[in-house]
Amino acid sequence: MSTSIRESAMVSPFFVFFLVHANIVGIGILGFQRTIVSHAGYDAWISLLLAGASIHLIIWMLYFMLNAGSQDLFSLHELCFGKWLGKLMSFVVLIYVWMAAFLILRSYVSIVKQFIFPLMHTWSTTLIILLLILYIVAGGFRTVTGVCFLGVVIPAILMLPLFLFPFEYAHPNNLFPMFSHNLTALIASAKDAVINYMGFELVLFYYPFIKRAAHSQKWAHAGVLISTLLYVAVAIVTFLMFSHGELDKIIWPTLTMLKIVEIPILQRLEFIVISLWLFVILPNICLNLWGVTRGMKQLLGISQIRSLLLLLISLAMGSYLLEGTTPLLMALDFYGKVSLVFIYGYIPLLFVLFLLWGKKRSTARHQTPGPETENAR
Amino acid sequence: MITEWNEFLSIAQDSNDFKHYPLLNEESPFVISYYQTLIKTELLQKNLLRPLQERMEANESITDLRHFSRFLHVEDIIYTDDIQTVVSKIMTGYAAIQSKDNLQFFALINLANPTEGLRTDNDTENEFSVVGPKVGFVENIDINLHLIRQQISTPKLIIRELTLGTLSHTRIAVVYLSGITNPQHIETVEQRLQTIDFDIIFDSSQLDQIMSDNSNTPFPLFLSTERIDRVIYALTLGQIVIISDASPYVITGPTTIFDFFISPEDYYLPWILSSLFRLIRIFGVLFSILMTPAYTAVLTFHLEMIPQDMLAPIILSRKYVPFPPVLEVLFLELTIEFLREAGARLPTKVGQTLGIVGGIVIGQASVEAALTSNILLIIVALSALASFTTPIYKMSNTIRFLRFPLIILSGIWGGLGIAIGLMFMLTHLLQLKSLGTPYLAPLYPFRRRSFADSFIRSSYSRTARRSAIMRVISQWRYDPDKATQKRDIDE
Repeated sequence: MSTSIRESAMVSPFFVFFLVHANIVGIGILGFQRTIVSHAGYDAWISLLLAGASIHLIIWMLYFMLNAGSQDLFSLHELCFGKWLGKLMSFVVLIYVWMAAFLILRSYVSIVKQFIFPLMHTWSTTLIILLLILYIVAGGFRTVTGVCFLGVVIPAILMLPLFLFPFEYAHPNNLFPMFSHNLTALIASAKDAVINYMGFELVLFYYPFIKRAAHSQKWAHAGVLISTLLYVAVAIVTFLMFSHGELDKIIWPTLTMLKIVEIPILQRLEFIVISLWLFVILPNICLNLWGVTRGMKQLLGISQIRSLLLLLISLAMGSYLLEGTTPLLMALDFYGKVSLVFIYGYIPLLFVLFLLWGKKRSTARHQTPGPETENAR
Repeated sequence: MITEWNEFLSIAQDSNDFKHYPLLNEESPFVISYYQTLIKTELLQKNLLRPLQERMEANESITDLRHFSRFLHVEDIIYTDDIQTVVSKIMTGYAAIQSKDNLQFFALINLANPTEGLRTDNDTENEFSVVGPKVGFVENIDINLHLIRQQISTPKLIIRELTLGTLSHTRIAVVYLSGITNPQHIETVEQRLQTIDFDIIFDSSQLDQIMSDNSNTPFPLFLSTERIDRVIYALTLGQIVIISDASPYVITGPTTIFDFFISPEDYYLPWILSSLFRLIRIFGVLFSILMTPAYTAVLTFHLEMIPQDMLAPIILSRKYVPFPPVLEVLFLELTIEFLREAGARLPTKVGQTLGIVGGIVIGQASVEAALTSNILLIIVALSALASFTTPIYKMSNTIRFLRFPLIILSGIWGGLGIAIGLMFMLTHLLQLKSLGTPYLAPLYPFRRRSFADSFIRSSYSRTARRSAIMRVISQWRYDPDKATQKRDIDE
């Protein structure tokens, strides 16, 4: 089933940091503040830390399963569910991953429409971005990783300094009294925050493409850690800037906050930020699509370039069909629920199944090459 | 066998410079053939005719060709019966002598005159540096190899020659330092050179394109230079140098994109200064590529970005301009490109005058005629200037090109268009490879150690190690501890 991977297509473990970090941070960081404060108020930064901690646990589970012999999602499913049910489950996960890519693209285009070109038709922007995605994903996993790398480094250099400007208008009192919410509220907010951490689960797809993959676990954790800290930092800056009442009315608080940045020759830097945000969302879409093409190759034997074209057409059609902000928000909400189930329900379930019999099977398979033993079930 | 020779004779004798006659007199048992235009007549007389005549006068009878080496003072005599060798040697300036008794056996005597009509030294006028040696390569491969050998006196310097081009039979030399350069790279180069089937090779730049990893790219994948110091430095870092006869430019590879922003002068100035200059060059490139698209994007779509104080002068200068910004920018960029092309094609003195006329008169006039705004004129002139900071001519041509797609994209999608164009460019760079080495190294793949000599130049004690990107066999160039002794304060 799985084809062996050329050394030249692999990347060093260090890059797992960028793969994880670039895929966690995406469209969510522009507007996560409003959703997380609904339960925990301005203590929600604690919820972000809680959510981050839980993601560390899930990453540990994923790496435990991957290191113990299942190379990727597909062999993991086969070990846990058997051949046919495994394939079916893989297919369901592929749809889920496709949906993530679609929603990121759609959200980005809608932000562009809202902030930069209010009168523009979305199809032309969608089309040129899809072309760019085609060029990147057709370059293979190394190119996608490179885009992840640049998608972290370039925005970090250009944009992080911008978050110092709002401090001029900071109201430290907004944060106090601290710890005024109980644990249930914090957890409820953490539940809302989790959707912003999605993207790390793609390690299930690219794990076989990492050199000395078992050593990459620390980089994966580092990626999650840095992303968590970034979210917390952005959240705190936002809380300092806006009052609770203001925040409730703003859809994209991060962008609104950047509107006040002014440097001698330029103002309204959110135009630059939104344009360059393309660098941040591209890794998300590209890695997701790359994962799906690889999955379709493993499951159905379709060549990756064909399935890529197919996926891009589906994205274009989807963008055309899903017009307007309200359906988009509904779709995002739905996706958030699914991802909650996926992270806290499905991955632990896999983990338990893997501990019950998958691990035994995988070691059996490694020791005696040949048809795997069905009686272990 | 003999028919092959006769075929050659019948073709060659159509040409007036081909000589085929009995040696010395009609009764002589030997026949000589050569191209007059390829040999040095002086050598023919001194090395062949005179000694032969002396023997004749001494009444020595010479009947066998093999006796020639006894009295001829020529080092290079080849005896052969292979017609192909004979023909190819005649084509490179040898004279072929046959005995009338045995027409199938030849003595080939080297009378070639390779340097006739060629210059023997060259100023590095296209890659000028104030400090440092001024001698550059010339059109003769032997002189070029001599120049390299003169600088690196170690038997580790290996020169491998081969001949390419079905019509030109150009001599190509692959030069590298054995024990340093990765053998895999050498193998790749030699393999690619050997598979080249091309008629005429004028210049090493052609080789560059024929053997490059990706022929559909605007970026140069090999660095071509006329400077000796640059080539020597490339060799010591583990790169391979390819020299082609009749070309004053030498190509080196594998390269990364940062190599093209290195000037040899960087190594002659203190490292702090040269690091700053390198950063300025890279900033110059970014400025040159991005400034006019940014103008287009801001003035077309994002006027809100201009602060109030600056808005007035910009609006005033564009008040009478009837075009949308994208056309205005394209018009002025094209003007600059015309000037540049014309300046490059015209003789130096005319070119200079034209530059002044074009730059000042056209610029001023087009502003007054309200074809462009003053501010755009400044931006375009600055970005043209910035693109000249790139030390390698081929790379500055690439930068010249990159601006245009970005201007058009920014005219359609504003800032987003620039981001899309940049991402296309970066993705392309991510995929490029030079001799199998990633073009964007040490950035991607990330090699922390190689940053010492990339977009900055660290001090010599920090660049003792060769860059890991070239995958060299031996890492250390010199012992850095010997160069600098670490001392504590007040010791």
